[in-house]
Amino acid sequence: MSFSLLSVTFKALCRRWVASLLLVAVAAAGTVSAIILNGLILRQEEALENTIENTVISCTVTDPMGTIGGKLGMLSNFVEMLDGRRRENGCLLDDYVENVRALSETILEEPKGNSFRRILSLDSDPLLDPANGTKVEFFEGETEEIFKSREQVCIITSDIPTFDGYAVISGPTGEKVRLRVIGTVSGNLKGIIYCPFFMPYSEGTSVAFYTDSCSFDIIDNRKLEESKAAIYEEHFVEPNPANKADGLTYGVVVHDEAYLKNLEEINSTLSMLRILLPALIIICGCIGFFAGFLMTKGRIREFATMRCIGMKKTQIFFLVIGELLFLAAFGMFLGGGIGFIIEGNLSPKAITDSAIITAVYIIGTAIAALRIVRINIMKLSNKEE
Amino acid sequence: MNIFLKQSRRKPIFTIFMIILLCLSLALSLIGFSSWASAKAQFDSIASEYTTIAMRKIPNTDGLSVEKGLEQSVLYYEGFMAAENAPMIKSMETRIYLGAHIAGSKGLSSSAIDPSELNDLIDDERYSFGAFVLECTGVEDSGYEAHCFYTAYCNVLEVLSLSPAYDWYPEITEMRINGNMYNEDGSVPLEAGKKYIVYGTYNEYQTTALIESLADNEHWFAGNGYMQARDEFGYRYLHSPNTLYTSDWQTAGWAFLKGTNENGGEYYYPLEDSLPWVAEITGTIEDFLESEEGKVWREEIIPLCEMNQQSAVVYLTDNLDSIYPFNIGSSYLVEGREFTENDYSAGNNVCLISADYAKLNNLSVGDSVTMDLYNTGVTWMGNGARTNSIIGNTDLGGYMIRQHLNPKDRIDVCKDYEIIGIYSTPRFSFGVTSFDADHIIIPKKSVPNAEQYEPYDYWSHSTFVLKHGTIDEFEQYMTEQGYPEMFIYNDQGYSAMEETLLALEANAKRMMNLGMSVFALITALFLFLNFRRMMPVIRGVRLLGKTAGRTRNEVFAVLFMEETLSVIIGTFLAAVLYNSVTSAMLSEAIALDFKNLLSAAAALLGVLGILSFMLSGILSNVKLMKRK
Amino acid sequence: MNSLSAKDVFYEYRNSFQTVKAVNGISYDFEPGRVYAVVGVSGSGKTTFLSLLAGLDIPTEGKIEFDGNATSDIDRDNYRLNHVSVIYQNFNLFYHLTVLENAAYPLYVKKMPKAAAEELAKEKLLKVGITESQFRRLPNMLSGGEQQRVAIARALACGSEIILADEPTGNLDSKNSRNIVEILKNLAHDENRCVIIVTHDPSVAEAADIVLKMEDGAFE
Repeated sequence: MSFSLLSVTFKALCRRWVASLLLVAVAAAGTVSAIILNGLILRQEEALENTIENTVISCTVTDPMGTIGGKLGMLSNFVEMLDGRRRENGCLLDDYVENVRALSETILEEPKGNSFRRILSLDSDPLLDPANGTKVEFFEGETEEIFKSREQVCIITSDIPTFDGYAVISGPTGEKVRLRVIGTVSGNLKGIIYCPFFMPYSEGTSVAFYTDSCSFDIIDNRKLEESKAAIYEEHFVEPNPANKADGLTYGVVVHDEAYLKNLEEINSTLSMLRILLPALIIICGCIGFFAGFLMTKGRIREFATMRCIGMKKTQIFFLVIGELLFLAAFGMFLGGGIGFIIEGNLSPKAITDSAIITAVYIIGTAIAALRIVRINIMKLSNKEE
Repeated sequence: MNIFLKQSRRKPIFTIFMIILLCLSLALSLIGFSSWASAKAQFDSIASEYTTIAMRKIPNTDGLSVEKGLEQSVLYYEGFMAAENAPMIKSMETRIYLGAHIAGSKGLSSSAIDPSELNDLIDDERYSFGAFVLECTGVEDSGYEAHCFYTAYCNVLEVLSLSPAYDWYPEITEMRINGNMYNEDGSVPLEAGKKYIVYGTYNEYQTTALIESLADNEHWFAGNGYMQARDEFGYRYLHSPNTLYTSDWQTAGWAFLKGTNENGGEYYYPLEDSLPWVAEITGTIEDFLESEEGKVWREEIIPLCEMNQQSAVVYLTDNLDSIYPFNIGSSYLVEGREFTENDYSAGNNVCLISADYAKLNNLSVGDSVTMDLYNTGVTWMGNGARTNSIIGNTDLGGYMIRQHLNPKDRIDVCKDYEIIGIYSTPRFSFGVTSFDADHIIIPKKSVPNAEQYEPYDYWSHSTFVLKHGTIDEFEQYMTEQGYPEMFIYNDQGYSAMEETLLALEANAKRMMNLGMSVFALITALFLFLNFRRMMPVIRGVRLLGKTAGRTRNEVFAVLFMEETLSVIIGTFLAAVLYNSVTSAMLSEAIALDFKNLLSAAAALLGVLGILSFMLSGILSNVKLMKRK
Repeated sequence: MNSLSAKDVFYEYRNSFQTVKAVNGISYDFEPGRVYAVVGVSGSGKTTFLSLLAGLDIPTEGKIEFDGNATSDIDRDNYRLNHVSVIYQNFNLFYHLTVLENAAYPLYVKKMPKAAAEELAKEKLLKVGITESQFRRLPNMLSGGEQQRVAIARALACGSEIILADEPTGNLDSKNSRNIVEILKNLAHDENRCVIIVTHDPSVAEAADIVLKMEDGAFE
């Protein structure tokens, strides 16, 4: 095909701009559709991934029946298991749980009647909730982290007497312990001393005591089932009113109901998208097919004239396909640009899909063109198409 | 004969393809629309699972002078009032507390489940009313102090009425009466050697002990909840009541009168029409109760004690999740279901009870409780000091306390509530964050005109329900109003879910926009192709003298017919495709809403029709002069 | 010299409803340098016969011979491109190409270099009376007579020995008609081409060298 023929054809395409624009638009729409439709799933998956990661699933330790409202009365050994202090004994629960919160209260002999509270973190005790007007201030260089240690330190309400920066307590066993004061608790609380949960009364010893309340979070929600299985493997059970309290096992309520319910909802949307996507791609392809077919079919007279002046069928066919390839390529490029602006990226799947849509579009045109070159040019003299 | 109809029938393939093209694009946009509609529904349904709240902090007045403390409190009050107008607020949960008498039930007093949790503050005047027959053995009267009080030492001859929560305790044989209610003349109402019938709030003092082993790696334990029967803790006290009156309260809440004795000591004595709290018995208690003098004891006082022993707190709400402990998850449902929207709006007679209350009264989901409601009033005890004598110097912060049931406060609402759920909550805890296990939660609307029972300081513990995602905006608003950092917030993890929800909505919107764009493009194509084909004929018939109006109508008729056909097929296609996909899913929110789909289809048909009509009109007015 | 002859030509239109015998046994030899007018009432088969001569299709029976070769045996695309040109009543120009591009189009198809093709097309356009200022216009902007002249110029540019015209003046006024007929006549007489005009315009027939009357698909 001569260059001059192509150049004239191109000029004609430009002059026929409405039709050409529509053809370009159809190709562009196909490409944008493929990119957007593919982007939908990608984005939804990414967002879901973030949601799963960012959602905090907390667990509450209860009695085996799951109904306890008062003091838990659970030995601190169980907290050690959750907190990763029993790894050498083969308890690896801390691989699955984090942010263990535990509280244990003792009434002191000295200062008499005061509340001595062991906590693993500030949110272990609801009394420290800022809603209650409570404010905790650490001295310089001290942080909340220390509550995870076994150090003999404490934070105290303003009424607790101190001696050279130490608070002196004596528990039910009568032994006096000096605790370095590292911060203050202000607000409406009085007579309370907070110390690290696992703090021993004397260095180098270990302690066991009863825990009033305990809760923790799941580390990785993606491994929720695995984590639950690990939690319920030993020592902890899924609460059930039929269980019996034996002091050897405790219940763990995993607050995942709303999370799982919503996750299921969103997953159903995702799977809907996954099923719908190919259908929509097919629809887009069909639209391209029919658009290409109809747009080409409308030019029957022009092609007949070409035949009349002696152009070969193949020549006309390739001219039509060439024209459309050019417009489709332009449309794809344009659509790709628009899609990129909307989506911010182009996935290989989107490119493949848009190529398929465009191919179907060209096939539609080709079929129409095939019909045209087979047209009976004897009818060319007809006054009207 | 419509020549355009004939024209389109002459080229059936062209016409059919055109219809297919249009109906495919319609299907695409309708699917887009349906997924948008369902995504919106799903968004709303998921978002409604979360409640974002702003909870007013209790002012921290630690270390402030009384005046400064008061200033601070006033500031917080003003802050709350200013917050009520914030545009981010969706609703306000106003706490309403009532009391209920549930005949035959056991009130959940502090020690009802675990004796070691005995706490006077919780039981006081609510569960610990008791009536006894005593023999006074001696009286100590402070007599001359500014506020006179006395202690009467008694032997217990008979327990007439006492909460079953004390059943676990050893037999009560001795009791002290801590009193500040004197006779009008200033004399102590009890005398040694005489027999009395008394009623009042009964206290048991006990303590817990904890023993720790200091031995290496050896853990052992002796008794949390273990009763230490030390002598000094073994006393039982009866506090003479000073607040129970059958007539109206006196001004400023004073329910007693004040006198001064010869030593200059101030003493209190009851009003004339108040219930007696002590009466001397000369014969047997049975004879006394049968007598005219004993009538008030038999018919009023002892039933009053029992009624309070069988009482519970009733909490009225419109939104369970806005209650702070439920919102943050320290209180949660363990069995049954939550209230539904219908429960709230219709005021169904349903309730939630705590696991402890259920255990104590042997109740389960599906059972009913008959509640006789009293507007007892509540008081925020800013000081949560335990009155327990050995731990009296600990203050665990404020505590919301319901007053006792008083016959005059009965509100004439007595009905059965079905238990639909059981929740778990710390049995008794302190602070604004607490929600005790003796609370029976009911929908606010189930009590007629419940608003009138709002506590006068409703603002102190009400929560604001915020629109999702407006926490920062709200804080900003409050800061601008001059009340920074007065609220704490919780969104139940909505912010983590939000990203997915927004993606969901944005996706659906994108899908709809895509569908609509394709539809617009194909509509343009459809009209372009149709008119390209029809134009010569339009010219022709116009040349033949057909009016522009008639030509337009004929063109429009054909186009509209094709469009209607496309819309019908396209809608059907979209419905079938979408439905077959979504019906496989379990979610109700994304299910096909046929009504929505139909209205969208009708709207699209309308747009198509209007466009076609306008274009037909314009193009039928074609210039008959040939262009030069 | 190339000759065109019809030998016992029959042609039928068929569709599922009916069969129409359009051409019913025509035999005739056309000579170069002459203008033939084929006249007859509408539906007498004039246009069909012309189309067969143009090689748009082959006869159902009999044959059209060009230079002694039947159109059924030769490459008819090549035949149309190089030896025969058709001028239609409705011009059949490419409406998205300029006057010049229309005239040069067959030359582009023949792969003639652009400059040469345009040179030749310009020459032919000037010859049929299209002014240079009209070269860049689209056909729609010209009058019917001018459009027909462009169509003739296109035929001339091809260099075809045979010019077939189907009612070339049907859409034109009498002045333009005369003009077109004059051009066609000159082509036959000056350039020794064979011009066959299908018409029912008596004035056109009058101008022809030979008038062939057609009735029911056959010459009278």
